[in-house]
Amino acid sequence: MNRPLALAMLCTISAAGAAADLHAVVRDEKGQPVAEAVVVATPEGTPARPARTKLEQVEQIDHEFVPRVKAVLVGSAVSFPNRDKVRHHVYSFSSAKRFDLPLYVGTPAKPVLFDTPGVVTIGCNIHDWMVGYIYVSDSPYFATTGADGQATLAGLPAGRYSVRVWHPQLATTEAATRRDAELQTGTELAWQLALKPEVRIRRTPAQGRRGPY
Amino acid sequence: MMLAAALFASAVQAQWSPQFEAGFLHDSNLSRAQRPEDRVADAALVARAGLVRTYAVGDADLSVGADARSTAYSSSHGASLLALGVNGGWRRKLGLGLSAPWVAADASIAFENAREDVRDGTRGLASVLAGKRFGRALEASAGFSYDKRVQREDHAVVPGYGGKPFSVQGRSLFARADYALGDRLGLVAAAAERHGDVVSSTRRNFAIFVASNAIAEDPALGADFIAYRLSGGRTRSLTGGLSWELARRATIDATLTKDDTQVSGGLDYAAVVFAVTFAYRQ
Repeated sequence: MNRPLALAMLCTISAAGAAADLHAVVRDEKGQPVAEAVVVATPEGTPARPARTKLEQVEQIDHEFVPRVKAVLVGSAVSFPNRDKVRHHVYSFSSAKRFDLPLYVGTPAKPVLFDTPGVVTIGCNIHDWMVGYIYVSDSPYFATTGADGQATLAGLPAGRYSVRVWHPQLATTEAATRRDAELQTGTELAWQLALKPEVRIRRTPAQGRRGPY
Repeated sequence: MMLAAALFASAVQAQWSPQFEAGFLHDSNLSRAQRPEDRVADAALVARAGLVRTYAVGDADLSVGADARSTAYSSSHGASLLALGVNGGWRRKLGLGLSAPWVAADASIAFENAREDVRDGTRGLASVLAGKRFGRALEASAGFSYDKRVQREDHAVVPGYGGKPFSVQGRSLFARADYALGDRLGLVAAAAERHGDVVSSTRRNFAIFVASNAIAEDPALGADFIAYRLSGGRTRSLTGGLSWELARRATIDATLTKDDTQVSGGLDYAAVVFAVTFAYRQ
């Protein structure tokens, strides 16, 4: 159970005039795709193109956060609509954002502003197994891998970038995943990173059966 | 009035959630007898289906439910039973966050219909408990419970002795810990101490006859078995187990429980119950 997993990431950057797409593939050491990995590209030397924040959303569906991992640009506001018929109490103690949305159904009146880069772990105070992550990126160029372990960062300005990956089970620091890529060269990059085993809180607790006295 | 209004408002939002359990158990001493020749070991298939509905009341959750439960023994058919019950629970967290402590209260009542009428009755259980999570991996809880079972019919066979040996009550202190070993495997450990009435079924036995205060024939375990109720018993239970999470809503659990019961007069007995259970909860 505690076997270390490895994360392999392959990035291909191809230039097309002044813009390029960055395609990332994230796999574990067994070659299986890794979903919910956030890939972030930060331009080096030149500042990132100004980006406009938008209202983001993390839903609560069937007593789970959807999506479980959400990447947003720093300065974004995130709404937490509750699609369930029971109340949820969303909170975070993370240093990048501390907040508390007391018991509610429907959509809270005010979205939460995420104004500090970092990883924000969110939970529900009623249903302890509900855990989610909001990755607040200081770069506007990011994407989250899907079930196929792939993500595409489209339309990046040509130039030199540092590319990092973050995942809830990442065993190393995010900084240790950094690779540099020159957009014009079409560089192909690969990473192998260990993942920690995930300890999830159960929705169905273990039973305790008894006989007669 | 406010509570009723809150319940009504919540009922609009709440929904019923199904629960299922199915499994196997082996009891090394179903008769709870002291003498080796009186111990009846047996295995059983168990099943339970229930519905639970949760209401939000203030900062707490209130749940109500109903369930049907069956136990079918492979040899001691007379002990096999079908039970219908209702239950309720209240749970409140005392603070914000994963490690905030919580308190809860639960109560249930079930009407049990066994193949042998002497084992028919009503069983009730009420408990209060408190718990706390220590990180994602460990949760511990402890509490107090009161149990009472009322035998439906009097089956007196000895003048001067009551005929309801299966009417018992007891009080327990218990503690439990659940520890996650990884993403799917968990450990369960529990301990309990119960003080109260116990039922020991044996063949004719003068020592237990003298110590008992209710007696009835117990053909569920054999034609010559007699159920004796003994008061003032102390049962210490230790449980250890493994739990494998098949999916987010389903587990397979294997537990081993060792009961050691001490009764005045030296009528002590022990039992080991091994159970494997599949559980699904929506």
